[in-house]
Amino acid sequence: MKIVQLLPTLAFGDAVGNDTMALMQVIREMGYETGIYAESIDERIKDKAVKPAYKVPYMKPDDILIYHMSIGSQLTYTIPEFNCRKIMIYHNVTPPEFLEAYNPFTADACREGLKQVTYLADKFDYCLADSAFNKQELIRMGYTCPIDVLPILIPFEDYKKAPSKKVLRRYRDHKTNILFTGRIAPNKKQEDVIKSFYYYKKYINPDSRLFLVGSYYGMENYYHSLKAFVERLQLEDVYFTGQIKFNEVLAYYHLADVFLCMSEHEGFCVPLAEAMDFRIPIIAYDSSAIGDTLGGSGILLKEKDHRIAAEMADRLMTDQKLREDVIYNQSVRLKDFEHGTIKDQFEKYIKTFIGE
Amino acid sequence: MSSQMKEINIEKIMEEIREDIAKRGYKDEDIDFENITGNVKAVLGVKTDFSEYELTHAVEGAAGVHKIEYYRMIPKGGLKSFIQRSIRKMVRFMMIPMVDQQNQFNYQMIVCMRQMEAFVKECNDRAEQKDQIIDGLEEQIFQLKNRCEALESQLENKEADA
Repeated sequence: MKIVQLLPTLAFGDAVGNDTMALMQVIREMGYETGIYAESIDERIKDKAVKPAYKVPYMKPDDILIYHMSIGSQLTYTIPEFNCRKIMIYHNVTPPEFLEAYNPFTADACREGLKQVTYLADKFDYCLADSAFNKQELIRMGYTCPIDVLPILIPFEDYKKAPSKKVLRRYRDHKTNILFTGRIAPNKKQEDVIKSFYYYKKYINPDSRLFLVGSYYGMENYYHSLKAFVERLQLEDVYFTGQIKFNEVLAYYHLADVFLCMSEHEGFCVPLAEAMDFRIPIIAYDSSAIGDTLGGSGILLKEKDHRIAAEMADRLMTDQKLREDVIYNQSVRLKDFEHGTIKDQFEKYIKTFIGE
Repeated sequence: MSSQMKEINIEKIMEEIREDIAKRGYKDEDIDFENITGNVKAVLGVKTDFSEYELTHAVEGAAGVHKIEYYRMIPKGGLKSFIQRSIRKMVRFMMIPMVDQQNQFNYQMIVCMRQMEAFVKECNDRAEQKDQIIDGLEEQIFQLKNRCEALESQLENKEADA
């Protein structure tokens, strides 16, 4: 029996790409024949089992096709043609309204993606959603098949690698470092992180920095708007890193004192789990899947008040007991995302689906 | 929330924070991002940072579309199509040399961008090698410093004994 994964783009190092590669390993360990098929494959991925989408093998009725849904693609319309059992892993699609003003092409792709999610409502036998938020979204879009929640498989082992000494040398000092990692994208609301940092630096702690770590590729207009915004506020010590090497990302996590997330749309938000792993206290605005991922840990802000976010950052820096409690709770939550836990959950779901 | 987690009284903290905000004397400031969004002047006037990743993608993107095709397919049928195809034929003598010239220019620009990309990569590789050397030297300095301190303390002990 075969269990193959199909997706439009297999990118190197992004959340969906990592999840797909990790699941392939789990499926292999379960003893099934497997492979990943994608329309576009990052050149850095060298696994022999990763092949172009047109090479999907013949699927028998008892084989399983796992489709990763995160953006619109023509591949979606081939799903009904497969005469096998089908599972969708839903990673969520960014609502186009966020992207419209900055990148109409990506906004269109997302709009098409959402249409396709609705189109696929009756085409799958079973769905796995990264978060309870994603599950609710599928139900809202008319999915009636069984749906379970399976968090993304995160390669925590990689985070133990050595961080960039260059970055550490440059910023390791007495200053307070506030961090947000993730693509520079309008749904992630980096402007709100900047606003909160503005209050923190101006009214609370001038000896502070803000690191916005993430690529702005495809979102250049938004990135330049953010840069213009920082200039207009005459705000110093805001660093946009752009796309950087993995060891440099690790260095920023090592340097961070507080992780601040003001995102308004996330299907899971891997950086929150990463911050937990690096024992950085998290302040996050309660939107989309953020609350699910934090699972009662971190500091969840119910309202978007930048002064409150700034004061909360100060609390975490000055109240040692609160800081320790928040980090402790995050480490408890992190256990739910451990490789072994997610792997067992995935195996259980697959076995139940197969009927073993 | 898991039962293993520690209880944090967020309501109380929020109350205290609201009191702190009142005391801190925050002013009502115009920090509206909406004024910036879509403001082309504001956006284009910003000095951007260098990113090798963005450069590579931009060069690849430009290389992929650098050749302009003069000939555009016009489906046959109808008066509109006939007129369009006639115009296409009529302006051909003028368009082809222009497009050729533009293509020549685009080609040279791509070569130029590729050269600059290669140069940047070379510089980065050299800088990275130097960083590695600096890291190694810093490590050596650290070890030697420790050794000096240990020897100094041994010497002090011996002097004290003598």
